[in-house]
Amino acid sequence: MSLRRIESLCRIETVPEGLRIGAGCVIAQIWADKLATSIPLLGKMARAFGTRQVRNRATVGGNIASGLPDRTLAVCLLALDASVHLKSLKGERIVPLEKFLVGAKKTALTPEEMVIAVTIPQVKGFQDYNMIGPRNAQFFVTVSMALVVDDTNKKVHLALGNAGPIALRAHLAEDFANTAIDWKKQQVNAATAAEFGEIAAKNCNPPSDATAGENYRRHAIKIMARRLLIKAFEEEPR
Amino acid sequence: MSAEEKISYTLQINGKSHKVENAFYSENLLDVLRYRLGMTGTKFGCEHGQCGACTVHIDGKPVCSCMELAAVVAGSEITTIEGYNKPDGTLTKLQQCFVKHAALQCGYCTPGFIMSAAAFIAEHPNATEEEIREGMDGNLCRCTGYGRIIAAIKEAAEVSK
Amino acid sequence: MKLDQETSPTATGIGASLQRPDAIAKVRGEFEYAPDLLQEGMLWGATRRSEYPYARLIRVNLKPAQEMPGVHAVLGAWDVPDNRFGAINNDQPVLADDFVRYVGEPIAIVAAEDAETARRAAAAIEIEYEPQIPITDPVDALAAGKIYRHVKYSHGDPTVVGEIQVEGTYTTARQDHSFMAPDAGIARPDGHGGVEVIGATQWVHADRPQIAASLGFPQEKVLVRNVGVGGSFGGRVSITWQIHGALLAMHTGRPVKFLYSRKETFHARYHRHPSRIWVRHHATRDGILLKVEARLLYEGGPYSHTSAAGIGNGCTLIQGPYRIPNAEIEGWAVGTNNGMCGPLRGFGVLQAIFACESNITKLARELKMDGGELRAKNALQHGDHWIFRQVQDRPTPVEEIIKKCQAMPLPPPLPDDERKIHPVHLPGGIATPTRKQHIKRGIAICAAAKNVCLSEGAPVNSTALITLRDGVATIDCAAAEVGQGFVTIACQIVQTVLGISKVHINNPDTNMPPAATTDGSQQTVTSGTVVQITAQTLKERFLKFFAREHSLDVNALDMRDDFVVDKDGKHIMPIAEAGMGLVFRATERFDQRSTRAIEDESDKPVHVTIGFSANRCVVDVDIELGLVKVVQMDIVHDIGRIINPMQAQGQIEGGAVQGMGLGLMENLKAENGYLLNPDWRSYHIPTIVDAPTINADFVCYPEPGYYYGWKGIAELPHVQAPAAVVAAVRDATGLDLPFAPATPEYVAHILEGNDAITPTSSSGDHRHGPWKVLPPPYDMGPWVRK
Repeated sequence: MSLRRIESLCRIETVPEGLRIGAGCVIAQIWADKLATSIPLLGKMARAFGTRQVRNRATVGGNIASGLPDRTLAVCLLALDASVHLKSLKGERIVPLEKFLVGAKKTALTPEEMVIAVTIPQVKGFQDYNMIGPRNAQFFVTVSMALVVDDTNKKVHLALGNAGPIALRAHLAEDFANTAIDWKKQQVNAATAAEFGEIAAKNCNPPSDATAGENYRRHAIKIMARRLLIKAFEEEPR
Repeated sequence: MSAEEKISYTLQINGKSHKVENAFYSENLLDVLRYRLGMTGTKFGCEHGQCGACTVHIDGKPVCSCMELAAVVAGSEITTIEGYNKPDGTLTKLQQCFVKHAALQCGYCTPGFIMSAAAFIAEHPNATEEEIREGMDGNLCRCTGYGRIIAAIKEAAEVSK
Repeated sequence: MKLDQETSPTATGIGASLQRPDAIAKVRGEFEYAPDLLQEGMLWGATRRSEYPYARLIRVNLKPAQEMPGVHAVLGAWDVPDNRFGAINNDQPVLADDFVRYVGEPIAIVAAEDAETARRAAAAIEIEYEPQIPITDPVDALAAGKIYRHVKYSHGDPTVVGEIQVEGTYTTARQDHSFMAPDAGIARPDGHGGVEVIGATQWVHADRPQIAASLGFPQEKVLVRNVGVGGSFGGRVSITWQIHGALLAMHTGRPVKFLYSRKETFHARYHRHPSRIWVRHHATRDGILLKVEARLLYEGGPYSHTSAAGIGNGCTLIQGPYRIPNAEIEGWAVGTNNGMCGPLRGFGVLQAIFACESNITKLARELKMDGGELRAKNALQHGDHWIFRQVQDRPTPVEEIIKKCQAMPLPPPLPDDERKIHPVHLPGGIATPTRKQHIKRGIAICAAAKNVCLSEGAPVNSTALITLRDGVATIDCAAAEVGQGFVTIACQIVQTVLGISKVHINNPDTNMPPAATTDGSQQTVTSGTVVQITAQTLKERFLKFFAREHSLDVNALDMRDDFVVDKDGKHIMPIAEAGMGLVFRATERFDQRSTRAIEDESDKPVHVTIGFSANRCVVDVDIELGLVKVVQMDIVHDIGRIINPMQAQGQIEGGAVQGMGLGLMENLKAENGYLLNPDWRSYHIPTIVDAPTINADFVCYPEPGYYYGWKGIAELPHVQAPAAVVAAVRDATGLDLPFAPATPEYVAHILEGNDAITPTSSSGDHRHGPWKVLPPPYDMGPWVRK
């Protein structure tokens, strides 16, 4: 059963909760969509996602339901505080993405349910996605991360990919940053950024596999998180 | 639907209908094209969507056919290199550029590159070298080192103003 | 040198960038490759392979497969008339009988109605194994005496000691050919009691005797034919499915097709020998090299294959393109259970050049000299002696090549405004965390030498037959075309010699006399030469005929522009007419000069000839994350004579990017005898984003012994690229990096202050050379059946 075929699942629309993306939407569609540009992270996510061929076929629903920890889409949606809409014969329910991703390749999806959409609350502020791998294109990420700054609520969201059995939010690092950032001056000093990276790197569980070991992954998380936070609060908007 | 079950379906390929009968549900589009329908222009390089040698167009978009279940794409318009080719045997501008720039050696990756690039240049007229590198990242080549492929696509993408 | 940047469909002759004769078919997807072969009534083959790196086979029960509907034959070891074959020694089972010695070793084969049924039947075969302890570390193999060849020699005065001594231990990983077309082909009964094997091989005439012998056939009953080969790089020189297919075809009476998946292609085939090389250079304070000492350890598979030739190549060309008066060299090729090893572009030399160049770079740093200056200062010269007792008695433009390479323009730095940098130019690519301020640029130049032609007594020869009829020539030569463009240059050579424009070449098969294997950069100088000689003979016969017919002086005639012409070039008659409908033929054989094994006392050379090149590589490195972007490679190559400028550049570019792969990302890892990443998801080859700008230039000094002075080039760009890339990364980071590939993890790991690791060793500890031979830790059981 291909989600792509069901027209109602392939829509992107604004709803009171934010932006709603149907589970049948392919990544290439998100990239091209005008409404989706209101959330810049989605464009960055789509550009970084797989290869052109993969972007034309990978669906939002399929990607989320896979429960794999290195998937670009899940990491970005996690940082955006997205929610997942599930439907069964009994009705619909909405689950925050963070709760939906239960464990390694496991989601909160029951056998009678399917993912029909995700909604993303509108958020104002810096957003970016970074990933690294064993070469410069087309790779399963060694590690990745998405940083979303919520200027209104003075909070940062940091989601990590391939830093554990599931894509996860680095809450301890976020808590630290939320108080350490000078929100008034919109500034972050080098020590804060470095500490942010240290906390994120310490509080995750990256795998060792044929591509890279745990040590390198932690090292990369530390550096990437530090760099992202600095970039978010640089004087010139990027 | 289990992997054991056998089914029949119709595929729309290059503007023609092709009936596929008694196929395992688990057969991918690439295998069906090559071995059931004898259309061997689309190449098999890896079975995990990494090399792009199997690129076809599904509803006009480049896709790795080794990653698609044939039964699932019944109902879509599929275009292969056989459908892209000019029936009179002459070459498209893109194909001519590949030949002219020696953008092929063993040539095994070439049909996949042509299909991928055909879709790319339609969306990126006057593409720069950087855009070509980014846009063609789903196709691997082991022989040429890519430089000549980039030059060929760059010329093919040129649209006179 | 200004080189063509376009091919032409109508350009003719030596020196033109003639378009490939198969280019049009290839861009239309109409060119047939081995995986495309389909035949009415064909069955599909499948192979059951070992799941253990080393185990005794207790029981192999074929019945569950035989009883499956749709299965036509299931064969095991006892069905093979002669169950031993091999690239050089017959030590490898066609189907494993007593032991399996690597994961993926074939145990049984199936022919069935369709591919899926064949696969399921193969999986249903019941096998009882008694696992043994595999050897997974080459140092353990050395200790256990699992040695295919031991080389030891010295040169000059090995007791000399230099004021400056620099040493290091360098390792290179297992590399896969990763050609685009997986192994495939069809074997079918020929209707006369024999078998036809159609596939994609480098050497039809080496496959035939092996297939015939295993089947208990005389060679005449086996025809081997090539269709399109989707890349090779040295990887199609041995039998994988061919004997299996022939057995099943004879057993079932039907054509049998084999098609390996990519994962199966990784397991079924051989890879580059991982290496561990200790080298010490002695020099004067001014940087003049005095002596080289080296210990080379090459890890082969459980069967000998071509390991002896590989270590021979390495032990000789560890010298690099340098004048070194004294040497002490020792090397071993050993066998582990990690999988088969064999030739890959730059066979045995890439590893040695990596070690040599890495240590020369280290020496340059020690002497505080520029790397190019040190290399140019010690450049080998005409008349010098190689350390393996051979005189360099032919053009030796090493110094010129290095200096020319250094003079090529450097790329511009990255723009200051990072918004102007497209992410494909950044280490890490799209979505990289690397920004301009994290990047350090590194530049390094490396030089290399590679033998052209098979060496150490291997016979290298080709025979061609050329037919001229109605002004059109056809070439029959069994030289395998694998993408390198032999088909193009063979036609160009005949175009020049016969003065005609229409030349065709047939696909190789064993109905033709033997040609050299497509190996060792030798096809142009061997098969190209025989085509030239044959065309020359044909020209003489044709003109003799024409002169007699028209009562002309044969010495006043020539052939040009499709015409018979007089000595002033005036057209006399079109060649198409002048043949008067007759068919003219000539056949010649060309042999390369004979060579000797390193240990041999005769005066013959070890290598037929040796080529030289220099590669200056520029990289941008994210010095915290170890990510690398290769910006540019400037390469100068010693080519003798350029036959097709576009193709020559293509060889340089393709070889350099492939070598860059080993330098930065290619590592087929084995742990406890199991391949960890046998597919393209986790074995990484360079993408279009990774590929640098490559500028190639040439120096042309005619090679003696060949009328047109040509010289083979195909391997050298690959040989030196890993050394050049890693040297540039060393320049950027200031680190030693004695291991290829220098992956981001490895670079970052060393940056953090950790010891160099040698990931080829599953035991993980770092072993410094020279090695002491340790007592074997366990009983290894029977190894090679003599």
